[in-house]
Amino acid sequence: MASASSNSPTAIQLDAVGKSFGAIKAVSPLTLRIAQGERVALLGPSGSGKTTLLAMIAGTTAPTTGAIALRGKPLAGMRPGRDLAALVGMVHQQFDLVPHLSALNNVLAGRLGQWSAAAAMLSLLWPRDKDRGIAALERVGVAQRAYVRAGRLSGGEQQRVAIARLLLQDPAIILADEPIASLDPTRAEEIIALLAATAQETGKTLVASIHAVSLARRHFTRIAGMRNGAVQFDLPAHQVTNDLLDALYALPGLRDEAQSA
Amino acid sequence: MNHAAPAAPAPRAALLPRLSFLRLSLLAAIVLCCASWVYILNVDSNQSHSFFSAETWRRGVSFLKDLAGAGSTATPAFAQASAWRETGRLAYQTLAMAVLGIGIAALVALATFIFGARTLMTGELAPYGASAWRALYIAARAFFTLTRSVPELVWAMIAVFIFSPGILPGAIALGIHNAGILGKLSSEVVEGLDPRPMRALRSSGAGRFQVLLYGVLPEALPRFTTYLLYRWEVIIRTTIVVGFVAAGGLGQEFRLAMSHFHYTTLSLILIWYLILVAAVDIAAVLLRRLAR
Repeated sequence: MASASSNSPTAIQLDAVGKSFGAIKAVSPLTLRIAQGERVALLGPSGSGKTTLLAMIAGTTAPTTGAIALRGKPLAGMRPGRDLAALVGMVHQQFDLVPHLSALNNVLAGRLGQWSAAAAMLSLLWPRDKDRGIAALERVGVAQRAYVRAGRLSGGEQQRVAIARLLLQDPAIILADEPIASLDPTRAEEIIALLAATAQETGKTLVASIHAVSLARRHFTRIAGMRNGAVQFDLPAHQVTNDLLDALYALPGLRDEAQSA
Repeated sequence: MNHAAPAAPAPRAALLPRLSFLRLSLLAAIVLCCASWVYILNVDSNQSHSFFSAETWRRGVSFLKDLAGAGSTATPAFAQASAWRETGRLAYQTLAMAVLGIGIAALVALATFIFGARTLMTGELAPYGASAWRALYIAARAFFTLTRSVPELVWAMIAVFIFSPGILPGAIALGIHNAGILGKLSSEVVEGLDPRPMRALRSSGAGRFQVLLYGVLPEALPRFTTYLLYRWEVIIRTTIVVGFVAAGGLGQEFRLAMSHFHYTTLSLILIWYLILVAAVDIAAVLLRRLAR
């Protein structure tokens, strides 16, 4: 588990964290430390436990065993809300946005934790903190679409708006669960580059599950390979060899997945 | 030739489910159709006699003539300016009853439909310790079932007992019945919403009420508006039914005219209904376009 930034403060600490759904073991107990500012790519075949791992770090799925701490605070018992949202934010493959709300209102929803109910209601009619919302949309390159309904945006634009919402939510840790799975290769690289640059500029920690090996090498500092719910390797990005990747995606893993599906 | 043998059982397996429903329905329809005609022509000959008799035909033609004012020397109602003015006033009252009725229905449904959505009351998005909310869900669903299973006509009879006859009891009757329909439909819209944007809002720090504001209402209200306008179209037609029990408007006048054999007044009222229904249809189309 060597990592270049082992002297930075710890952002994510997993201690023997495992998750089972009934008899099916999604994640075998694993211990992992991710330092503040690291950009970690999770690679591995579908069904290898990446999504479950991310959901546990996000606090939306409780681990069956072990304990998770984010920036030293234990995650167990933390309810969704302002405190959790300040620690960790998540981008999914898609469907993060409310289709009938404008892109701007979707972005401003990242501020809801700071707003009263009345302020939130009024903001639907007269957007509050509008300048910050527009600035975030400018940062992700879709400011000209601010007043378009999210449902009418393209897949790439929706991901940009979702990232802009994260900018306003301003969590210390950004998680991304296959954020580019529904995008074409050019859009995919743009979105990953945007996520990586956002994390780098603001010193945030980024953990993303992706399937694109080349993108993982280009934009992340560290790569963890998962298979059958276990971490196969966890190395600085430049030390990950093709042999390791071939072993990670080798057919037996796929066959196991087909059986469990 | 080798692959022919294993392929043989496949078509039979593929055809069986279709035969069991579609073809059986068609067969049943044909059998029922033939049997009905045999019954009408042979067994129930009295009924068929009166249905196809010259007497029926004569009565029908005479009634249509009466409606057109041909059977009487008096000026038909639809040719009198005063009758138009009088029924016009009733048409306005009828429209008012429909607007008031849909308004009551909308307010009641808007105040309750969230509580009727199971996904919000008992699912992962429900508040912790949700048994009180579950009770609210059951209460809301029971309310929708009760209000919409009692027909408007019955609500109108009850309302006329309590209030004096007029458009108010009519509007209340239409409002109560349609509140149940709108509430149920809207609750089901909420239950069918994609939970992922709501979860995303929740995890980006929104409170439960804020998730309602940002994740549920923007998605549910356009559909609610569509249902509302559709029920308004239905209500304008149903005013004639509640009017029959003295709940005011053109319906009440229709029943009076019928019992006094004022046939041309009936025609006039029907003309007004055509105008009202067409006007409401057009207004609903325009409002729907505006809401989109």
